[in-house]
Amino acid sequence: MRALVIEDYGPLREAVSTALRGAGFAVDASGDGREGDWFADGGTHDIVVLDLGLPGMDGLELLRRLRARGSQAHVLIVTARDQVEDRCAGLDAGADDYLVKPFAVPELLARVRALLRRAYQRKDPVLRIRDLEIDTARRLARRAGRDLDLTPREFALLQFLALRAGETVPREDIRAHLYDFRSDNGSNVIDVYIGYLRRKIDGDGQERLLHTRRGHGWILGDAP
Amino acid sequence: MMSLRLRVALVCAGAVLVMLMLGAWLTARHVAAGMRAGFDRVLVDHLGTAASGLEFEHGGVERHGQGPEVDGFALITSTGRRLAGQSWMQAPAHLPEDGRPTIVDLAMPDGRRCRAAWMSYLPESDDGQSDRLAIGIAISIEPLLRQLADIRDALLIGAVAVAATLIGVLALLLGRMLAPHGRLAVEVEALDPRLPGRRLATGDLPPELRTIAERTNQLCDRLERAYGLASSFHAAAAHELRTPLAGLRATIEVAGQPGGDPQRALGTCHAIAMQMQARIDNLLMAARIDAGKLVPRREEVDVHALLRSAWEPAPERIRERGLEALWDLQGEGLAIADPEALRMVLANLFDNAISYAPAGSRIEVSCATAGDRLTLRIANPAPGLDADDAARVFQRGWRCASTGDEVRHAGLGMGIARELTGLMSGRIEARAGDGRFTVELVLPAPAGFDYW
Repeated sequence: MRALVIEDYGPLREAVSTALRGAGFAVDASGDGREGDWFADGGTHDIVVLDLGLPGMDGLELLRRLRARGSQAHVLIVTARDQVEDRCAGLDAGADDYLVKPFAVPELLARVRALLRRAYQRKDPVLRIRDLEIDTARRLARRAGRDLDLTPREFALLQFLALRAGETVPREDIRAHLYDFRSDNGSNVIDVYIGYLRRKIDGDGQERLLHTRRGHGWILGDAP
Repeated sequence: MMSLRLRVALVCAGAVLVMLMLGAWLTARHVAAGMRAGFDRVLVDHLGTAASGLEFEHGGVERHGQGPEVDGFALITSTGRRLAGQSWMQAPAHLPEDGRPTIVDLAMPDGRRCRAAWMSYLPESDDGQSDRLAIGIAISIEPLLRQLADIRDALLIGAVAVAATLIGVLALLLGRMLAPHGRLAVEVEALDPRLPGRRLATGDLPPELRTIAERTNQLCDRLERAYGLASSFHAAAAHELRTPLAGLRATIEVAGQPGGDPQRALGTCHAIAMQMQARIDNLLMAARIDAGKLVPRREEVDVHALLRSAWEPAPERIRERGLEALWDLQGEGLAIADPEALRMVLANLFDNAISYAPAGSRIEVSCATAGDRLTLRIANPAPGLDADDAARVFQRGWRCASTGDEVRHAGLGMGIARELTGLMSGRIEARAGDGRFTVELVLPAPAGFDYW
């Protein structure tokens, strides 16, 4: 999952970015409204954490531009403006959720996860593909009752594939949603992580859940 | 306290009543005096008639024509011998001999009050020798007294009726005349300090009340502006503290997670705490200035050293925003000032410049002494500011909207800088135009300072 954090206060931007990376997100961050708008223009972010009082361009203006371009990214406004009219203005401008500073990081992450489920039209935080269970809230995965030992990057890849279970996920989509702007994603890093993941979920002679469609991508779930 | 309308009504009603009663009393007195005088004239006429109707024959007296309304008659010789008449008619001790009548009040044997007229009388006699006689008649004044009582009652009733009518008319007129007062009182009572948007209607008020209402409206205007400024200030102050607080909390929470870096978080938290301290210092300083409790010290201060000290927290933000600083410090840089206050002034000026200068631009700091004045200038590009903004930049609560950076400032720093500079006998000015913003701070230098 890929998130964009647009917050002008450096320490907060860094803390939120770190928390999101810890939760398995690829994170792009910006402290300026115009730069944030440029980042968001790429259209590859699942979640945008947006401050309203930004230098360069006001957060609401940025949000309106984002929606005018047809962006489907889920936007969580994080601001010190706590008046009802501010919340209404933010939500009416196209935000999906609103969080007032100061806030608890676990709450921010929970709201981000909720937005992510909404983005992929899921209600249950536990994703199930046959005997594979992925608990997105507790960040645990198990198959046939056995816990899988996954790194954050492997978990993020599994979660992304599980959210789109049953459909072929192209390499470009994985690159766009799981790697941030600064990542070195030009090599075969995706193939490497797919390999790691396959060994962990399909090992021990179990029925294969992760299938490769050469030239197209990967499918988690029943083979086509 | 009674209402103005009631007080005026009571005073007017009292005055009307007193005047009417006094008028009625004077009228009754005048009428009574006239009627008594008329009665006396009639009495004297009857006395003359009685005197002319006397005939002395055969040692006796015959009376003719004194009229049936005469209730008493007496004819008494100078020796006191009663020649005719009733015994209760007693003549006065002395009667003028020129024939002028004397009138006295008497009580008749049946208790009725009457009035008697007496005169000295010298009857004609054939032998030319006659004795002076006192002749008197009396007429009851009971009918006159009844008439007077009726007149007095009529006057009293009339006075009361006139008074009631006048008071009614007065009340009506007062109601109409004092209606603007009443309306103004109701409107003033409806003014609510929590809703300072209400104003008094001044259109139909008389001049003296219009002045009061207009003054009140002006005060409401000021109150509303002050409320707006205070509300904006409180919101901005809370706003200003919330963002660093959110940063502090998030940094601590993230550091506590697996893989967190507590050591790095500690440094970040310290930096945030320093920023929050600076902002709280500003709030407290504003409160102290407002309370008039700030008495600045006056001592020789190394401004160059203070500039470096105030600049200390800035490099990280300078780096973050890609700014460049250009320094031009000349001379010894000594000034007479309060070092703490001046440090706060400089910190606010730097904070302002760093916050509002566009990313990647240059901040210029210069300091020089000329004669008895030290002049310090901090200049930065400011594309959105014009001369009007420069005039308002020192107003508390005013924030530059054109930079989009308003969330980080409560609009306090520049106002505090000006007030502190003034307390240190200095001067601070701001100029904006052509995309550039310059603050010039002038302080007394030791060469021209009088050390008392």
